Amino acid sequence: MSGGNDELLNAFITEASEGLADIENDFLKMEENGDNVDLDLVNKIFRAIHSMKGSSGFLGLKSIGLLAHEMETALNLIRGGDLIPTPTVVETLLKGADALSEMVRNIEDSESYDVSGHLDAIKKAIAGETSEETQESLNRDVDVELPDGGGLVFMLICEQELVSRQRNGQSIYVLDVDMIGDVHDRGRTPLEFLKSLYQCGELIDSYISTAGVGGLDEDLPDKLSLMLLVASKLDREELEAALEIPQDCIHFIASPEETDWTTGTPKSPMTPVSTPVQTDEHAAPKTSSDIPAITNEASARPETSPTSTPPAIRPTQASTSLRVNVGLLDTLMNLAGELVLARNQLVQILDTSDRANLESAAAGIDQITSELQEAIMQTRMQPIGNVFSKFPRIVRDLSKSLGKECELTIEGKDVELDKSIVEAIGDPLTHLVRNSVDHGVETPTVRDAAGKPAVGNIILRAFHQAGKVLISISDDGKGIDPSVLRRKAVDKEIYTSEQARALSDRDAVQLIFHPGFSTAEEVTDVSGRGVGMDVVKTNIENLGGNVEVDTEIGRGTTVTVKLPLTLAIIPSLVVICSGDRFAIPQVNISELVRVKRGEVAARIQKVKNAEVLRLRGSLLPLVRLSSVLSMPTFAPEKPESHTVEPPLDSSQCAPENDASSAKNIADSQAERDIHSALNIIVVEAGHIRYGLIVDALHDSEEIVVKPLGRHMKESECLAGATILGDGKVALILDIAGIASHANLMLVEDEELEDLSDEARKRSGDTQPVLLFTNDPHEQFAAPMPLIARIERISTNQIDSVGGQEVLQYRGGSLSLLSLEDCIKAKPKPDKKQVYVVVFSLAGKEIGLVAPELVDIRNVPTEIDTVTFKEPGVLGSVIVDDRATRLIDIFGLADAVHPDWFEKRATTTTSTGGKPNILLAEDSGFFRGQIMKFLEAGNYDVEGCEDGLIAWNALQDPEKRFDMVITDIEMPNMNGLELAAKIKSDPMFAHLPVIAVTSLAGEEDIERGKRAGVDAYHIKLDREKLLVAVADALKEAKLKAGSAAGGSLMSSGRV
Amino acid sequence: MTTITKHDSATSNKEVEFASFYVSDLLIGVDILQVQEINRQLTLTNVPHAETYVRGVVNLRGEVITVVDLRTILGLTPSEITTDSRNVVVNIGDEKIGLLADKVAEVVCTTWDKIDPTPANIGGVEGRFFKGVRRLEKELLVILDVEEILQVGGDSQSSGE
Repeated sequence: MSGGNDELLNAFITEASEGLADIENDFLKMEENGDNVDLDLVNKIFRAIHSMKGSSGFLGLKSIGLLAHEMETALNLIRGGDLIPTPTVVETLLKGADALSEMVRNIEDSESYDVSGHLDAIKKAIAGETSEETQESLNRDVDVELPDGGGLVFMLICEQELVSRQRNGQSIYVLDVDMIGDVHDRGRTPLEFLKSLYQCGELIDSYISTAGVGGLDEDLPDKLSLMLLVASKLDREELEAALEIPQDCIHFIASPEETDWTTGTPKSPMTPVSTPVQTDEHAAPKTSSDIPAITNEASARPETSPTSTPPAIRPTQASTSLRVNVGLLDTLMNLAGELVLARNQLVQILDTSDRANLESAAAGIDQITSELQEAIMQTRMQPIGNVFSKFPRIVRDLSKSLGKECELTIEGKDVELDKSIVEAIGDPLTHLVRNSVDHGVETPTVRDAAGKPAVGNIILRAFHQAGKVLISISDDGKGIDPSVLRRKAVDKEIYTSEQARALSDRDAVQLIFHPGFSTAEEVTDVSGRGVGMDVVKTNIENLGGNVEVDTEIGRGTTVTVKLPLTLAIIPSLVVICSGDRFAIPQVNISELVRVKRGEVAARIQKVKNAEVLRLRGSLLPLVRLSSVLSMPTFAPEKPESHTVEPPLDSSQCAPENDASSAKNIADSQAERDIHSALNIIVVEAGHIRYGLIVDALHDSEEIVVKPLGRHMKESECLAGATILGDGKVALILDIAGIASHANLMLVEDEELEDLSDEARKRSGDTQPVLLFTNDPHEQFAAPMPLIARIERISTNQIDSVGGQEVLQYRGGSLSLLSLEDCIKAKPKPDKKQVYVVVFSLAGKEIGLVAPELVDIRNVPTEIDTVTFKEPGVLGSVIVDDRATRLIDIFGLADAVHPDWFEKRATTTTSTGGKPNILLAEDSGFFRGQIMKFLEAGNYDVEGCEDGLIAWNALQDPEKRFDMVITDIEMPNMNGLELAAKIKSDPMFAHLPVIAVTSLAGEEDIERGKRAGVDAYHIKLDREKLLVAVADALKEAKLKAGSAAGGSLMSSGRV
Repeated sequence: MTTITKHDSATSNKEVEFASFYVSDLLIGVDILQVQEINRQLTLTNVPHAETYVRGVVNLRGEVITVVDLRTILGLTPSEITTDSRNVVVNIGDEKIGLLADKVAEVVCTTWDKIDPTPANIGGVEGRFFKGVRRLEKELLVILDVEEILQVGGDSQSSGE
């Protein structure tokens, strides 16, 4: 028996879990409907609870049975309209359902679970909401006695239930089933019997007669009697046919007034009260043939209909089994069959070595494998609704306990994600939803005062976008106030008050992801425990996703979680280090940098034994993969090195034009690296960003992640393994682990900053430029800050329209320039693919055709403006022993599209003369350039070589200036000092100060602002600078006119 | 760890089969029920930071399994992979692990009561790695305690008695 019992128990657990999975939301819906009871819904819940009760009695699970019984009683009252599902009632029922789930989960211990609290609560809830008569009849339990003198059978049914069932047209039967003779011997399992019973009617109670059962060690008894109290609409004959049990085992029980019923309290069946009780609700008809005139009869009928289906099936969380669509399984079977055929074909061909057939067989296998993979992946896909379904309850409970009113709208339940992601996303999402209720939505009074509806809206949405799944949680609450976050950040000493002030609102909002940050003014037990969003972020990032916050004060907050469809396959870059291949997940890679042989010394520097890379003006810590992995340092036999097309921002790619220099010699000695180029992968993991030096890039590949065995679990540098195309195993690198293994700390940042400052000072002024060639022998440079992006196009995309070249793309057209058409340059070679460098000028875009890109480089600004003087060329500079012309993109664009730069309304001073600008710039080249275009813009300009000279010029009583433009890095007195001096001197404080720089970094701008600089601009961005000058002058004039009054006005008139 | 044979007395006269193979000069037997397969799959990928006895990982039909060098664990000179080398894949717990064998020998059929307790030292190797020895016609078959062997590095590495 015990084997069968296990099976039965497992079946019970599965069924009960499925029944309970949906029950929460049904309860909530029921509550929402209030006294407008949706009978279908109540019946659905009733069925779930009821079948639990029936089966639990069968399995001897008393606690579950008792609780289910009590809940059923309440549901029955609701069904009959005697109990209104008020929030209190639903609350107790929900708690009861929780307890049931708990018990089902730990079925072994379910008997030790104390359900009395729940029983009392439900009883109380019923007592509070029903009429006294109903209660009375509830309290009268009825003992059942078999009519034909079979004796009193102790089964519990309360009178109220009996009456209401009979009102529904059901008859009550006692079935005396012999589990051995009637069930087992007829080749049925107890479960099958129960199932057929459920199709005929409802099981009210069951009772196993132990009389005929011997001890466990003895042989099976020949009779095992099971008493079942059943309510059914079928008559005896029909029951007999449906259940295949002898008719004499079916005992019809008449209704109370027909006697046979005795009432008594359940605890003392020994003292039966002999008088039958008549409730004032008129007793129901006696037999099923009499259909009572009760309107809900029809809706109660599905109960007995054989086609009634169990509630929708939902696997519970973290389940180890999975329900798969049969159609999908069929597809899989088909594919497996085809795979076998293809294998057979392949084996046959191997005998004949027929090349053509071999290829077709290989192609076949290729296709089948892909399809097979896709189909198998599909079996893992689960609807996100499995997770979403628990949120209505969470929102309800939480808003109740917080005294708020929230309505949760769920969209996109059917969006599917990999099973592992669906399971893992539950907790982070719960946290986010809780946050929305706790921190987002305000209390009704606050909302009212703000003119918003009292009920807050929370929208949970899942949808597909660009191959990813996005889940957004939006509320229309109070939003996140960046200033509160700034203050908090200072309080918690995450930032100094200056740093905090410098944060943009957007950056400040991101602070909620900072460890140890909680936005709730008071810490509640709900959220705001100080561990929160940072954990959410980490968890989501572990799933290969990311999370973003969008907020508007007073309007609400939207948190968007972006997730990959699957974790099983991740795109990655395969690199070579010391002859072995390693995979780096693409999500961790931000760009690839190749430092050429000649530049290694200049670009790689050492800070306290740690190597750093100078990358576009900042310093990046470097980690050598070979030394971090303690790999032997030998040259790989044959480095298969070729530049991989990285799926990165094209403006960041530093392609290589010299294939011969692509020879990589593995080498852990930094000194020897001077003789070889370096492949650096700029990687990111959380807050950490560093460069990983590898020997060579191999390929980009989609890999399947495989776990490593227990002997390698401790290696923090490895995230797993994968099998590459050739069948060999490659290890997957853990980017965060490598950082911690290499002791890469964020603390170093400050030192790095110091160094980068120093480096900047030492090297003098430099300008980052993009180097490219037109004819392979002529090198050109374009200032980086003006470049919007770089595109790679094929030349047949270029159209010639009216003598102008245009590129059709992104639904519009881009005007193109070719150098040979504008300046003295050799024509570009005929190529299929070229790069287009896109500049953004005066709000318009123009593309410059650059057949070959060389590098991005900082070039000194000692620029020769004489040798290659012509319109469209700023000057020349020597880079890598090659004369390189720095192009003037404004000049080029002006020549082609003179209409683009229409005359600006020139600003005049209050005296009507030309505004006089003082320019401090130590680089002769830039000084010349800026003076040139300012003068062209109708300004008078006085150029000074450094800040001190400029300061002295200001003091000169002969001169009067309307504004100051200054470079930052200058000898004697730098631009910041100059700005500070000007702003602190009452004589000059009114002068607008614009700082110019070769590349405006965030920190530079911040430092400038602190010194009193009004605006920051890029030296070679002529258009922006001119606009800024005009604006600043206009503003200064306004200020002087309105605020300062007489003295300034008069001084102006002098 | 004692060197008393760990087998249950109730099973002592049941037949057991041992897959046997050579590691250095030792003829080692592993209960055949523990052996998943023996193959030549020794295209190893090195694992950085792993213990010295881990020779690397191999692809076993899509599964990445660890291959350990028994010689290193037993305190002998590391193996060199030759054409005779085999990967003896054993099931332990829910993981498969490959044992690097120098050469495979035949399957030995015996009963537990014919297996003697392990001496403290066999050919310079600590006895704790073995469950017992079985005298064959010409040589000695030592029965490997796979669990013990693969514990190494976990917690019992330092036991020096």
